[in-house]
Amino acid sequence: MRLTRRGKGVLGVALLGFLMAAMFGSRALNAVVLPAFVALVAGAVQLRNVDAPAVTRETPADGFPGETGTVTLRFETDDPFAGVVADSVPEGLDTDPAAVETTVGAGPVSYELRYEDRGEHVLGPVYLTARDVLGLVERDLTVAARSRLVVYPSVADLAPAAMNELQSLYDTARTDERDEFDRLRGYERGDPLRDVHWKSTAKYDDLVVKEFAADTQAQAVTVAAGAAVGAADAMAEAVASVALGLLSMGIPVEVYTPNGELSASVGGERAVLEHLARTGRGGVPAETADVEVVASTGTTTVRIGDVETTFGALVGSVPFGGDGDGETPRGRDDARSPAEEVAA
Amino acid sequence: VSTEPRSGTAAAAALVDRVGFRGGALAGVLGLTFAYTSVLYHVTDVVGGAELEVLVVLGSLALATGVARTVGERTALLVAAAIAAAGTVVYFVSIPSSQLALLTIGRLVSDVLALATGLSVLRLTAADVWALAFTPGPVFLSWYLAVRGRYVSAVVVGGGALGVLVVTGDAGTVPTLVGVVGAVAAVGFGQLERDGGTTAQVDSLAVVVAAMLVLTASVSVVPGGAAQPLLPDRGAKTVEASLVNAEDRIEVLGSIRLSPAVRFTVESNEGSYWQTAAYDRYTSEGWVRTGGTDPYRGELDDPPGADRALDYRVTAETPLDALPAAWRPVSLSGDVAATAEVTQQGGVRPGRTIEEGESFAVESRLPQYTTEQLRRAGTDYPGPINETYTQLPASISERVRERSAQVAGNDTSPYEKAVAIESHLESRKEYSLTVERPDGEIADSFLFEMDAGYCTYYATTMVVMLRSQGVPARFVVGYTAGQQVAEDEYVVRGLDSHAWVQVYFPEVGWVDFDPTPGGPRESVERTRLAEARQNNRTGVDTGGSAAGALQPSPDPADRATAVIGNESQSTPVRRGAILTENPRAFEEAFRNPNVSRNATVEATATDSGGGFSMPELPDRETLGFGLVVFVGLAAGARRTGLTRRAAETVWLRYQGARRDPETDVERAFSRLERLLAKRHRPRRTGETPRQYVDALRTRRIDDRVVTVAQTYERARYAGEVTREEADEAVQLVDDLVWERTPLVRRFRD
Repeated sequence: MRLTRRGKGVLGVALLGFLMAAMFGSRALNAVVLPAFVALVAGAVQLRNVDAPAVTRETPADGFPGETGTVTLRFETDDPFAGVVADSVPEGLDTDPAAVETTVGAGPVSYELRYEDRGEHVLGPVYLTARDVLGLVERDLTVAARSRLVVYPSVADLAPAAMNELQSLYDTARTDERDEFDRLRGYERGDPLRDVHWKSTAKYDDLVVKEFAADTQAQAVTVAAGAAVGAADAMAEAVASVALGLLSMGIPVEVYTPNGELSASVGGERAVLEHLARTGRGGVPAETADVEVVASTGTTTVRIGDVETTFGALVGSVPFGGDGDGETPRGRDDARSPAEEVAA
Repeated sequence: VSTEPRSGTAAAAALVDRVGFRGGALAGVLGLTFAYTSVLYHVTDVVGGAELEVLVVLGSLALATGVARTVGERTALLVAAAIAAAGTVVYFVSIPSSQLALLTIGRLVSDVLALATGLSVLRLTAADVWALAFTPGPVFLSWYLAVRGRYVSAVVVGGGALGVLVVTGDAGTVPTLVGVVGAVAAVGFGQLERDGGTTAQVDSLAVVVAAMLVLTASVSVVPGGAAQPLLPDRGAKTVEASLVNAEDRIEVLGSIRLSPAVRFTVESNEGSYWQTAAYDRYTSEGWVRTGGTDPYRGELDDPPGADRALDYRVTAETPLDALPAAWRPVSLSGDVAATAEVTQQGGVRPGRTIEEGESFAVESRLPQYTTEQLRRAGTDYPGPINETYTQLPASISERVRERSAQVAGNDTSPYEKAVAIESHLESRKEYSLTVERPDGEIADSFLFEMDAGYCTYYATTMVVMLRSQGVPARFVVGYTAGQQVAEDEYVVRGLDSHAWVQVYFPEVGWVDFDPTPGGPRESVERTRLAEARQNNRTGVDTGGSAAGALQPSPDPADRATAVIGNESQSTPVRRGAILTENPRAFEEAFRNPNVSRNATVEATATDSGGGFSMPELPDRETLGFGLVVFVGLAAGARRTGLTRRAAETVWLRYQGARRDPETDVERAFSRLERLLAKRHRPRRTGETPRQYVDALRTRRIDDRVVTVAQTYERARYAGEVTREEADEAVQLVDDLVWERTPLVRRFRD
């Protein structure tokens, strides 16, 4: 328990009044000094009776760096009190405002959370500064309410050339097993030209492709990754971009990272992102993967099949050594927002 | 879906709360503003300019309200500073040029220091201008901040203004408390408004305020007695003397007692009233001497008219903080002359404590006049005299003015008015030392509500009446001649201290009048002296005074012999008293409480003889005080859950008015349920009444419970229950409840 600045002011006035009364006569100083002491003592009494309230925290959904979410804290107490609420937020998350002055127990308290860094973050405990009704005395209370929040790695849109490269990786795996014709379907971007069913295409005036049974029991593309000290974020971003790129083309992936492995097919994007959010540095766990990502300080090299390139080239910020279909590589700036990607 | 409208209602309630909180905070700031402006209003009421003061306050509030939303805080601060600066300039311009010439930086600093240590604002020569100049700055700034929702800053500004008036001693306990409560409300409600507080917190706030009031009214934690302003040290003085200066202000008190101790002896051929101070400014509650003092530099002015010399030597028998001298003292000799000071009223003060046994010689010039001369003196008063000595608070009641006019007569000279008023008071009022101090203005109370009083009341009332008729007059304190113990020696005791009136006559100067009747006083004082002698008190007698010596001591008529022209029978000064009473007010006022305890202690002991005493609060204040305390208690009861428990107790024990049988049974059963919940366990959700009672049966509950439960079931689900059955159920529940009530159950058996 300690005095606030206001409380110190009141104490100062009381002491000054007392001294002036002692030195130069009491006048009406008793009517100043005594209420000041009463206010301070009453403040201390009020705070002594304050119990830490039960706190429940509503956290926003996990998300990507740069996104924001609203955290809401609800307090349950029989005896609401004035105070300052400050949630303890780890590095990698930014709050606005950092502390809220409110009546604890009268209503929920919300603050904006800005996701900064990839990782699994723990919110809490909640730090409360209880104050008396006049704001003269305050006391710290800590409520151990913890919640987790995952910030995914950033995901970049791969350049079309890179997408093709990944597709071809899958095609190689798939072509060998195109045993049984399954059905015809509309052309989708990335379908190999040789699968086009020209007859039907002529008939429907639209590109139609043949689909084979093997397509459905997908053959996963394996992605293995490793990172040097301080490069885990770069690795996670590269792996996430590649894996989500593959998944967006309907290609299942198996991800091997220093913190474990995970297989995911279409719809499993969230699991991949969560897995990558938690990964740290370490060596590449699987040597024979289809795609290998090695991140070191400054550069991230990506091997797709036999082609070795950098992640920068994959996203199009550096020219990619593919066949070059003439399309301008899309920069990261106009990439679709990661949120839309997850929602899709 | 069901929570939607409820949360809407809650939001509306929260909004209502916030509006209420803002109202409370604004009212608090207004209360604080009212507290210090009422003190300033009192100053202007006494000195003049009360209407203007009200206008200034209202104008500042209006200006602040108008600009609060449009003008930024920096600009507002500049405006307030400009207002304060303009006020300071106006104040210095209004100071009389004679005083302005004396003004130095050092003197200014020491004056500010004196104000800060208890020098009343009323003692300033231009107190009215000071008050008017001081008002607008804080009023504007604090209200501006309050309207903008910055209540704490508003309280700091307003509290600072109130603080200034508290340290000058002008704000009494009541206005100070009002201001403090206002400040607390502003800060508390302001915080609740900002944080969205709850009713429970309002209760806490009310309890805190009530505790402040009750404690302040019953306990004093600060040390120190009367205000002891640090007056500028103009000349070599002891610290002790510079601290004691209470004689600049006199409060009229209630009951007082006489001190028989000998104060000083005078070797003089002639007895006289030994004046110690004259007061010019009337505050409704007492008297204030305005203006500073100048060092004594030899020979002072003679009275304007004819005079004759009186030389005498005063020897202090106890330490003295005053220079008793016959009006008008013109020269001093002895050690004390080096430190003596001359007041603006022409009196002399020692500037230090005169030690026991120390003596000094004084030469006075007694004004010489005849009645005829006074009658013809006319009203051609010097400007400053007319201005200073006809001052009256603007709030002097109309009936005082009417009565004064009626007593004084219309076409009469000032002298005739003075004589008429003097004899009116002497004949109409009884003399008594045991009076209750009136609440309001002294003269009005003494004239219309009191039957008796002592010299302070007589003299105060006479001055007020004269001034209301345009006659310059002033209130004078000192000692009467005392007991004459030898041809040329007078013994003056504490009980000789007295208050009387001086009236100014052009070409003559100040002439003494004494409206206090002599006869009754004499007996009171003789009794007191005899009593003291019987009790063998020391310090009562000196030299030959115990023997009774020469009697009577200087007769009132003695003074008449001084009058030129043998019209002794019509001398303006009538003094019936040989011994006069000793109002503690001024007896103490010019005595250093640290040096001479005997008189003070005695008087205090007598006053507080009743034991525990609450500081007196006038009726209106008592009412407000009681209201706040009551609200505080109620809030405290609610805060601690006392009211809820009380309501529950009543709810459980009384069935209330009978309605239809079904309702009665339902009510009876819910009472029973509450009782069972307290004794055993509450009914769980989903548990039917029957299951509940069955479950409790294992705990050997009363059969009556089962009966009531069955009745309830029939009433609730079958809807068939007769009046008799309902009454029986109610009766059973009543029995069950009261049987479990401690104490009461004994009476029910």
